[in-house]
Amino acid sequence: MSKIRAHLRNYRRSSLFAGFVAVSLLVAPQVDAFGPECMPQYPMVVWHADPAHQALIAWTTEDAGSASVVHFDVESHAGDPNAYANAMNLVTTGEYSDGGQFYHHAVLDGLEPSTRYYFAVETDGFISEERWFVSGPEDDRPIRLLYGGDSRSDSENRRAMNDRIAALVDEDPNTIALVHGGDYINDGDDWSQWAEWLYDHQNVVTADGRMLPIVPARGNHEAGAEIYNEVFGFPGGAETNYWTMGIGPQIRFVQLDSNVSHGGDQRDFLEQELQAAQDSRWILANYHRPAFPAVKSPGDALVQWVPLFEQYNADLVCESDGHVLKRTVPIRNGEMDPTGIVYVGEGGLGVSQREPISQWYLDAPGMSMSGHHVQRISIGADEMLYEAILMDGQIADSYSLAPRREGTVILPEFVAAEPDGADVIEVELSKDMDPDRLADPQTYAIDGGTVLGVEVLDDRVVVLTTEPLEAGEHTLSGNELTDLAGNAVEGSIGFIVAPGDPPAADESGSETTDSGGDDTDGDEDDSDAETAAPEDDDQPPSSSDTDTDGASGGDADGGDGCGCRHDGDAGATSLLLLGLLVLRRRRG
Amino acid sequence: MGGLKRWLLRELDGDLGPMLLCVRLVFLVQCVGMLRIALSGGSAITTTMFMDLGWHEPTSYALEISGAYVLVALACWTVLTGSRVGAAYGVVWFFGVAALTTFQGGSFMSDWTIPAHATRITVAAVLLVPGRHIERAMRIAIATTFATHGLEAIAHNPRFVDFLIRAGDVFAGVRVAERSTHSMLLVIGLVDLAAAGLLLTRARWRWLVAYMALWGVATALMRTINIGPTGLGQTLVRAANGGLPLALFVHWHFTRRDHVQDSRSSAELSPV
Repeated sequence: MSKIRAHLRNYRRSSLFAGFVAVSLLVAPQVDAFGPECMPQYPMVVWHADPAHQALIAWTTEDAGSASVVHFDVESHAGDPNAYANAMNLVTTGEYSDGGQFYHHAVLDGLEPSTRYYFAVETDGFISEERWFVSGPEDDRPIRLLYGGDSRSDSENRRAMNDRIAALVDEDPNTIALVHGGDYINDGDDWSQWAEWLYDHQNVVTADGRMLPIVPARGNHEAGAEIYNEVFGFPGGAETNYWTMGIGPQIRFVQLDSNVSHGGDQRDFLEQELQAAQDSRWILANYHRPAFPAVKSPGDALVQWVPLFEQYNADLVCESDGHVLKRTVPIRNGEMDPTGIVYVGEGGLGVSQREPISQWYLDAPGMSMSGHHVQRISIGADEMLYEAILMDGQIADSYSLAPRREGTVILPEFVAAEPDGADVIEVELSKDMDPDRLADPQTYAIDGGTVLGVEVLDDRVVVLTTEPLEAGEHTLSGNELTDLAGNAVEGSIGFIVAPGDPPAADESGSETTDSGGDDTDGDEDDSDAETAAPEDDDQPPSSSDTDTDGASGGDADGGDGCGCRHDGDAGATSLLLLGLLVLRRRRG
Repeated sequence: MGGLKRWLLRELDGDLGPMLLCVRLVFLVQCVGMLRIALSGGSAITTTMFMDLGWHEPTSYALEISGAYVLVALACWTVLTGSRVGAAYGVVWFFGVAALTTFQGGSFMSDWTIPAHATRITVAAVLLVPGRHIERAMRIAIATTFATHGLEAIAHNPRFVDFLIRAGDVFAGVRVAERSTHSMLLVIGLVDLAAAGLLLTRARWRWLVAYMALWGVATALMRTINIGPTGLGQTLVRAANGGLPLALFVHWHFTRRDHVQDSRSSAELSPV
């Protein structure tokens, strides 16, 4: 009996062992499938000099992989690589300097401004989740930037601040980027710390997959660290990390590197950029080590850069490093001066917060305090509003600045007015317009009279309905029809209604018979409209082209697959009208 | 006055007297610089207590300031009495700052902070070691600091670049191009390395330590010239960079003169 029991015990043990081996063999490939070596990790959008037309997509893999690509489109395809309209194969791949993992960089070029782009990254067949971002504006529409620094040394608080950033983006879609003042991690040469930062940075992604582009600057804890360039795609170039980001024609945001010489080539660069920026309305600067610190001693920026900020009237200067929240009084020539420069920041994106020391420039109306924070900078035509937002969402400080320069004001104007029959005119404007004004019939006047209705096709194209017009020349003008910056449309545009043009409503049934005359007239109308449009040297020549082709509206609602931009309210009527126009042109 | 004269005569007595007095005064100046740094935001000591030990930041800051006041008080006591307590406290303090600066990182070649601070640490340490080892310890410390700074210069420490640009601006009204400063720093770095090597290998070259004293003072002063009075603490805390070579110069100068005088006296007395 005892022998039988012993055999049974051995049998059980053998069975257990065999079962364990079998399960292990079965599970091993599955486990490998959960963490493949080329699975893209930490996708990130980085903005460099021209965010309206370019964005760098960076991601990481365990292995280098042999083929990497970014799939992107103006419509969502939920990560299906075959469905995206565009693929960027020019991917720079390299091993992080600390070894172990590999970075991939792809620059998406030729982007449409203020457009929602969906993307997914792929390496060796492994594809990431879909994310989306909005490209930078090309016009002077109001925008919001977030700014903060010092996200090092406290992962828990860093994640909490990233959650706050995501909430702010959810709250206001006009928030377009996060400008970082440096000190992402404690040791810039340690890849494991970067990996943790990148992992935490994914908290910035909103619930619907929006990824806020980051605009980086070097902190002293990344001084000389090559991994910084590998993470952010060499902002400013392989040799130097100072550069300027242009946001539309009115905002120049200079990114400086306070780890290299302040007074040498970088000072020359800064002066050159500030000189060039005099044509813009707003000038901002961002660097790590403060000239007017709230905690430590001042950096060399005080003697090398501050005189230039004062000479060229920068509007707002962002500093980090101190681990407090601060806003100085306006400073010029070392004393408070209403015309002076305001310095804000000091870093609160996660690092433990200090107590500020007493400094004259932080006394009221300046301020300083201890507390994790992110700054929000709302920039419009008439005002720059600075707000400091604490981890719990409370606004701890706010400050408003009026513009010092008029900048390069590009007024909206009529680009084309094309009649479709005697009572319908399709109108195109040179800039994205205020949607409320665009949809208001009172903002249009034809020969001084009003129009009956407005159908908004996108932010720049409308179809006006009017009483049937007599054949001959007519003039369309605006009446407080304003762009997103509040600039009223300039001038008027002429158009010709051909003799015999019936109202568009009657036209649908008599298309074939009217075709010949309409074509000829239509062509003439086009040329008239173009010549009638006022010339503007400052207007980018491609702006009207991009609008008519525009893949997706500035409000980032996405396209509908036909390559046209549509407002959500534009219905079947506008599609029908467009269809009629296309048919007419094709017949020609 | 009589008391001060008696004190001076007592301190200057002996071969090592003038040098040690010089070292003590340099130590005091350095401690005052440290106090000034502590008062204007603190050093790596506060940062470590606050960031890494998780202590309350105002408490950390207050602790460093208190410690710096004690440092200055003990340095004063050391100058007056030659007490070794202040020197020992100074060694711990300045070595601690160097080690914690290395630990904290975030500055150019921060891994090299301890050798770069060799003179600051040694200025206190030589007050603890037996007389016969003092000169050797000072030579090694000065050479280590000069060699480290020489390497930083060759590596184009951006602060050094800006010092040269600023010096050109302040003293000559000339804006030196960054590319030119790189050539200048190469020469400066090589000279520093050569001076360090000569100090270790050659006998008592007074002109060498005189040059090192002047250069050490000039580079320390540049911290204040560059950014104004806020840089005064950084200048004072570097007192030993010029102060230790100066002390060596004083030592060699007095001992050489005594030696010459002794030789002459011997010659006069000796029978022909």
